[in-house]
Amino acid sequence: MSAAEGTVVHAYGLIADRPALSLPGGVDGAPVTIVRAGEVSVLVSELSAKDYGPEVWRAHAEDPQWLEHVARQHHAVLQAMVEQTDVLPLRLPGIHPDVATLEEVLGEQETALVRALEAVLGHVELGAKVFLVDEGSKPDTEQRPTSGRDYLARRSAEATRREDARLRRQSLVLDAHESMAHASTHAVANPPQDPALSGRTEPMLLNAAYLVPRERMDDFVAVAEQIHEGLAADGMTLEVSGPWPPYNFAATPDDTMVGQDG
Amino acid sequence: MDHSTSPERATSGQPTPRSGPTFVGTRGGGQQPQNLADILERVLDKGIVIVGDIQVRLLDIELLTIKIRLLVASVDRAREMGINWWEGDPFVSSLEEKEEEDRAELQRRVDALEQRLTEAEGAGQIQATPAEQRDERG
Repeated sequence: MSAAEGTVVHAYGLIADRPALSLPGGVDGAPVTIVRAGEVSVLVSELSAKDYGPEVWRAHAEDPQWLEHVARQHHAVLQAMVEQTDVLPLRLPGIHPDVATLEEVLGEQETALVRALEAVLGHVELGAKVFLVDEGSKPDTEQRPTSGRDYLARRSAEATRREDARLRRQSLVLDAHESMAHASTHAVANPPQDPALSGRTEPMLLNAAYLVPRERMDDFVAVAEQIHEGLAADGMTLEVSGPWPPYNFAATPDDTMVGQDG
Repeated sequence: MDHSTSPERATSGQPTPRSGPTFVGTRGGGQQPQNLADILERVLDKGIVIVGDIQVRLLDIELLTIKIRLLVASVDRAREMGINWWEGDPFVSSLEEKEEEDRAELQRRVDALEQRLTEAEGAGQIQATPAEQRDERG
């Protein structure tokens, strides 16, 4: 049950296996290999338990630097693969005592795993975020109020203006999400990100992901560009990122499908 | 070259996707590296779980990945649209509380100003230039 002598098997993701895949380097340069069980192919690296065993994970659960180190490398493998074939990401930490045990559990869950991979075949994930970059001018700040009443009236007018602008932006953002959802197979909206992690200080009004057929990426981007232009007038900007491995759309049939959308 | 064996329609003759996320809509800013929030959000919070892996599910990690910072949100409107991702997140309630506090603070300041005006008028100190005193208070 506990990790076999010295190593653990770190699993990156399922792939649609095909010849001539070029496998990238894994965590800390460890070789990435493919473990096959029935119809399922999983990318793995054997890592030192001393560095990546369960105890280490527990110890670093809230250590952003350590997590970043692992997360970036884990992601880099999947990113390299999504450019060659379809990928179904595994969540971190997905570690197994040894290859034999992994093969066993893969065999047991083959049907569900194959179905989960099939759900994203031919697709990539595109991310879209809307930021508020310009809240709009405050028309009467230069002129001093002439009386207390005037001051209060201005405060009130300003509050109304801000509220109207806010509602308008919100409606535009939801429309944007809807349009992009239409241009995709599935869509999911996530909570806005913490500025401390994203490095973005502008308010994030939308943080969404879309499962897009590879051959329709250009169409999606065209829709996004149109939306971006539409949002600009209201001080907002749309950013599309990708193609990502379809993290947001990876689910076994037993799970609630995160990307379910109509 | 390996397209003949592609399952389904994967990479159906399209050029390979650009490497790494590219950003549209912010061309001025140039390419940005994948930000940490994007990666952690996906890698730690999404993705499939193979039942039977070593159980080190780390609930606390979610604290690192997701902090709702909804400055502009009408919960009602979003709920109508079926978008309610922040529901149940304590962070949002604290935002709402903050708005309450802001309003209370504004009210306090208005009251204080009115008080000062009344006093000033009573003492005949000022005619119509209270704005100068108000300035430093924002």
